[in-house]
Amino acid sequence: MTFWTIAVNDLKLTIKDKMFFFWLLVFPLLFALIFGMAFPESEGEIRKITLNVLDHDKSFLSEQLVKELESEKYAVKVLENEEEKSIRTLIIPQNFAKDIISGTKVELILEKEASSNMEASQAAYSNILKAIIKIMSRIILVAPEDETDLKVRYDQHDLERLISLQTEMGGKLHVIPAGFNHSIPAITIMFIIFTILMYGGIILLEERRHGQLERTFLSPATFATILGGKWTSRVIIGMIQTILLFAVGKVLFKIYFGPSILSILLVALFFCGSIAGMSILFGSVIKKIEILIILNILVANTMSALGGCWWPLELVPRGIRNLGFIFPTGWAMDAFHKLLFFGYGLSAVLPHIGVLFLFTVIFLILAIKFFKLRKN
Amino acid sequence: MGRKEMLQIEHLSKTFDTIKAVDDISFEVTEGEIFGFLGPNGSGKTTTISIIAGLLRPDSGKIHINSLDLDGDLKKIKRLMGVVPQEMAFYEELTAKENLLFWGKLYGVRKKELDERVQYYLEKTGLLGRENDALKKYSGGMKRRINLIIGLIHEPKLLLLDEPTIGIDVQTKLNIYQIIKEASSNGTTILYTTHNLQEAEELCHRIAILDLGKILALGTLDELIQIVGEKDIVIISGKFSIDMARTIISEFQQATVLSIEERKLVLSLEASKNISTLLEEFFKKGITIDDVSIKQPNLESVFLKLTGKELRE
Amino acid sequence: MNNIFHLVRKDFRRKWKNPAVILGFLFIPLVFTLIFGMVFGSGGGETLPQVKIFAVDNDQSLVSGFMLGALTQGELNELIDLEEIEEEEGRKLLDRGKASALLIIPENFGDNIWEGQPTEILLIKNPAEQFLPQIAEEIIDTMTLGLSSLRQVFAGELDTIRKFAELEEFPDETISALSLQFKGRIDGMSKYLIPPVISIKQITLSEEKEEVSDLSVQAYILPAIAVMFLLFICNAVFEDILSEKESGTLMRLRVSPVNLREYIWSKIVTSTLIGILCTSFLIILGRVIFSINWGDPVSIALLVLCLNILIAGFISFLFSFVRTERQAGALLTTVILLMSMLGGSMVPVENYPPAILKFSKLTLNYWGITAFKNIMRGEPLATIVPILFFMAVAGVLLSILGSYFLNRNLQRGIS
Repeated sequence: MTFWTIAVNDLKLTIKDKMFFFWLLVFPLLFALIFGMAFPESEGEIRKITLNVLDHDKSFLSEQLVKELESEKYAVKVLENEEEKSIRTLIIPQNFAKDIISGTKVELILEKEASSNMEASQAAYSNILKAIIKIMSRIILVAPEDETDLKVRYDQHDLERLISLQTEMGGKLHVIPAGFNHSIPAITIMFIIFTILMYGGIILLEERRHGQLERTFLSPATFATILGGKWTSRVIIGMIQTILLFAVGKVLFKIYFGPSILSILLVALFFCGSIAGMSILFGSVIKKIEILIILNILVANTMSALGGCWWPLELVPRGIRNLGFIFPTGWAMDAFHKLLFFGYGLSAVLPHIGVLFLFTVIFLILAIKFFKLRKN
Repeated sequence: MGRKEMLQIEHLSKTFDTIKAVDDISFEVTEGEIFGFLGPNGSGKTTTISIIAGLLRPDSGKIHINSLDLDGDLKKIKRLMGVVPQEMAFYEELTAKENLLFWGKLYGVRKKELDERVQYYLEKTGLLGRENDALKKYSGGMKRRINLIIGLIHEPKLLLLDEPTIGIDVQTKLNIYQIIKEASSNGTTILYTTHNLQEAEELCHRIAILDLGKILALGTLDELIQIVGEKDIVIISGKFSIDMARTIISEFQQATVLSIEERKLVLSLEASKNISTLLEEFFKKGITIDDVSIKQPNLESVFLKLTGKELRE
Repeated sequence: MNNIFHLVRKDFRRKWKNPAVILGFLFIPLVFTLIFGMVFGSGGGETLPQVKIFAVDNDQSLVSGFMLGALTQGELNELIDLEEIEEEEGRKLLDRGKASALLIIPENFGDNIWEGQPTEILLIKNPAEQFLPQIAEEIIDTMTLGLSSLRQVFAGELDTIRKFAELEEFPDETISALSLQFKGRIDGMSKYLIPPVISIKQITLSEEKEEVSDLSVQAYILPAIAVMFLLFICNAVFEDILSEKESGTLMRLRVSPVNLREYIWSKIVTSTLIGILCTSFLIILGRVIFSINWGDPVSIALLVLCLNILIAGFISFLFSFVRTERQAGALLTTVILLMSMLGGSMVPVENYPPAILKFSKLTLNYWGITAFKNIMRGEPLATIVPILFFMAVAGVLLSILGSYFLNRNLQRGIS
């Protein structure tokens, strides 16, 4: 009973701060929305990539090139003049057809604005390459003498696609994750750290400062009960946040939970446990609130950044990616990936849960070692 | 004595919501006087001090300090006034010397004079040699001393002291008393709030007793004791009801009830030899007496008589 | 003025003795810049990392070997990190996120191509990655298209070889005719393919300005994050008002000849000066540690001054709405984080859709970061002066408003 009394008391102290609800839900969702918009979805939803074409040649061959660019993935627009250029524009020079037929080198220019999406530009480049392959294949087959000859004989050779490429996603999931599937788990992890470290650490520090901690230890409650109660309250805070954010993610952003919600909750639980341990360690070691706040910002952001919460993992060099596994965040994010993107079950994330448990134990042992009742 | 009035308060009142914190008080303090403000928590002492310091605006009344109107001449008055608040109001990260120099400069004390005063007060408080230590390293008593001399560094004409000796050892207390008396003898007028009766008796030239925002009595110690007269104060504790105690006392003409509650009776008695007669009456009625205390007239008895309660320390 | 000077000096002295908070907030941008630099390298941040592809060659033919070989040639070699592997192990490693994609070439792949039969290769993509698997798909799709086209170009010749291979007879005249055919075909192709007659040049428009230099990742990140933490540093100076209120020194100051306005302006001046010092410190460290070229010193100096005037004014104005430490923590932290998020301190604004960009331009962070970038890109002072002027004027106005409201609220608060 004492255990729960302490846990509930700490929860009450946290909830008394009205801004807590802002940190719990509002702010993470704003973050998720903005991050989700900044790093939009990849596959799963058809999003046409803009490709403008400025054709200075206006020949039969240049028109064929434009035709080959068109597909369901690309919004190809032929521009009338230079002023209409935007995002990315393919510029076909004058004498394009004449030069190619005569074997003279031709340079196409793909102009991209600095703000254009990198991935989309890369895809557009590939599309252009493919279009070039197609028209060059026909030219080689036709071997025209001139433009007229090419125009007459171009359609005599149909291109057959002998080798086709079949794609599928790895893992067991048959639903392709949409954009917010990436940002919601990442934001949840990041804000669990912020919320638990901030509130959990500060409460402990203030209790020490004002003498309530000492008073608690003078009561019949044992050390284990008190520490356990405090750790539990922080875990509860983290779990409430997880459930709320995932629930809102489901309702507003239609995120997919994979086949095992229980596994998601278990991973979240053990992750919260490790961060709760860390908050008690910080609250034990640090003496001033301002230092605690700065340390929290540093630790939370470093762990989030290196753990894969800030940017798509594949952008990170593999060596640096492995650094993320020094922190609980790396393990939690990896576990979420397995559950949410690969569609695996609990057995796939048991090692992760084990490691997170180990983190919890280590942090708590250190917290006990450095624990002080008084500020001096 | 030919000394002028340094502080004049006329019909001062202040209400917070429905609570009348200061209720039409008037008094004067002469130059060099140590004027005590005695009363329990919530009596209006701190509110009165805050109004005099210019931190609160009164609802009504006038205040003159050194013939200057607080309403119109606050800026000039601030230069003449010093405050020693109850909390330790200084910068803990800075050293004693840095604090004193800072506050002195704010009051416009010139460098050479300021250096001399800093040296003087540090010596007076026994803190010379520790002046370059950050105040956060000081003990509670040392902090209290610094808190006091910060208020004195610019040699104010009027010094407001709000319970400056709370929670400190006897030695520090005596040191503080010494400095206060010296300041008074140098012409500084001191308004001293306390709920320590002994302190008020020892330090103050005159004392005002406050309760519930009103001044119940004002005068020197001797004048105040006259209120009680030659009567002793008797406190009787035992197992009796209020009605029973009233019945017994009503038959006793030499006694005046000061306060009566379940199991406790406070009264003033003409002569202590009458106590045995009174106690006999209690015993006859079968009442068990746990404790009897008799006190010679002093400030506490004055306070008891005026307010009907003991001043809890 | 004298009082303001004494108060500012006192605050500097206090901060000097207890610099942990300010140093902490200074340290964080440097750490973040280091992390970003580690993650994105010292390049322009415009290039993608290598795409790791596991390849399973169940065919082990010349054709499959040729195809896999082609993926490791030339430019593709820079883009792709190809590793041949067994299928079972490949699937396991893909599940563990060790690659962006797994390419499986089926048995009889070579035979099918040889015989002109349609065939299919399988690409299994890593679902945890958003971009690289897509790139892998595009590259391999292009390659298979190329191979298909090549087969079609040499269809006649290959069919002839196949026919005679079946007969197991290669008469001399057939061989010489075939050789001539191949030569003719290759000669015809070489006109267009050796070297390729069409090339694509990619231009990112900012590169066209010769005097504009590309910013390194660190040069991009450090000013962006620094602006956010300058806001926090300024906030810490103003939070001192609340701790002075609690400790009683504010009351003592009020009773002294100092008036509240002087006290408030001393905080504005202190925070501006501390902000200038911190920014200068970051600029120097940015140069020393990350070799950031900050551009014209005069422009940067003016920016540092004007930006910190704006920050101090903004924070003083915001602070006039709070009364307690908790309120300060809540309101100011929220506003600073929101502004930083929208204004480009956390995510480059170029990534935002236009609807959000409108709000970005309302933030102090946006203008501060834009000014830094413009100066670092070599823009002349004349083009930046309007931003600086706006910052300075806005800062002063906000300071005046802030001091008015803060004065009023402190009067009430202390009462």
